[in-house]
Amino acid sequence: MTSLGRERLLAIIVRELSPLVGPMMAQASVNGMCAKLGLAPQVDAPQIEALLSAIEPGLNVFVGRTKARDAITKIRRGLDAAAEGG
Amino acid sequence: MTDQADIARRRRAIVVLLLAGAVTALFLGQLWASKSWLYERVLTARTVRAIGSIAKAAPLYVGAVYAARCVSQYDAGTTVRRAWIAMSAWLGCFAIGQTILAAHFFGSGREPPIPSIADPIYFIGYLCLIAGLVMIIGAYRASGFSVGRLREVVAIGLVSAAIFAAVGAPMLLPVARSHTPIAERIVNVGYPLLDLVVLVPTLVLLRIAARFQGGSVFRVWTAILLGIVFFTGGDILFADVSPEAQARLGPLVDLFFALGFLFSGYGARLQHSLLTE
Repeated sequence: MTSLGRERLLAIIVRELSPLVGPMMAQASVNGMCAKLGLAPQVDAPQIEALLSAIEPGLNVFVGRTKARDAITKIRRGLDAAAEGG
Repeated sequence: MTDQADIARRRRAIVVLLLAGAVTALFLGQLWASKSWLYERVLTARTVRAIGSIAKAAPLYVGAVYAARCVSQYDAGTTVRRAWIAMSAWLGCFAIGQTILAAHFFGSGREPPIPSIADPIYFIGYLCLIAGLVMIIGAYRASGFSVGRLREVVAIGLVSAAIFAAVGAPMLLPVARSHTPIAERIVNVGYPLLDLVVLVPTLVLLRIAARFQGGSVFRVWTAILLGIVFFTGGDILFADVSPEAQARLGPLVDLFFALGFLFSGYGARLQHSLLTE
């Protein structure tokens, strides 16, 4: 995983979280976490990891360990595909 | 969610709606047409009571099992895990309470006494429910997701508690000071009081759940909280009317309980499918 535009990153994460927590919650929460982590318009790999690390334990509370892990795996796949696609 | 899981979820929702429709028709029919041939000959009071007992207890047992199965999906020592243990205990206690009441009625042919052995079990169930809801709110708030500001949660809790205290105190104080035996007074005051207490975290959680619209988490809490609203409504209706009105409104009270337990149990089932499917 390399760097990615913040808006693109958010769109991928929100797309995966929306069926679970709803689009409103997904958008607001990920925006809030991005702001807390101070993500720049171009997000590098360590920052993406930091964001995913912030999302997973919270998601765990709502959907349990297995589903949270699955969602993070799907997000990673989506991010990899986006990075490869340019 | 896979297509297959989605189809299964839709099927379950349809079954629950059909069951809700059936119990609604059964009890409203009893309320409005108790003198009809159907209710005099086929759906006699005893038959309706038997169907109602099953309709109330079965979803509670199912819900208790599914809530217990949710526990293993959370890490040991977490608040949310403890919350689901409490939610399972709530449903389990209510299921046992319902079974005791039904067994007493069909075994002896008489209404259960007040208080009955089921009452302490229900009281424990209520305490588990309150603890479960409070722990869920705490866990959701600590999740880092945007579940709302602390001051909003506190404001909803305080305002609803103040309103319930203002409404409940004038109703319950005379009952508490009456000359009926102390055990009877504890039951008469205990249930409405616990209902009002349950409604405070329920309202807070309703506000939080509204933020999950469009997601699976929203469906879980809509079902559980709707269930709680129905059965607390039934309890308050049952506690606040004269014996004559109770006899007249009995089917409505039964309907509220049946729908309350159905939706509560269904909510636990939804939570399990959210965690595992």
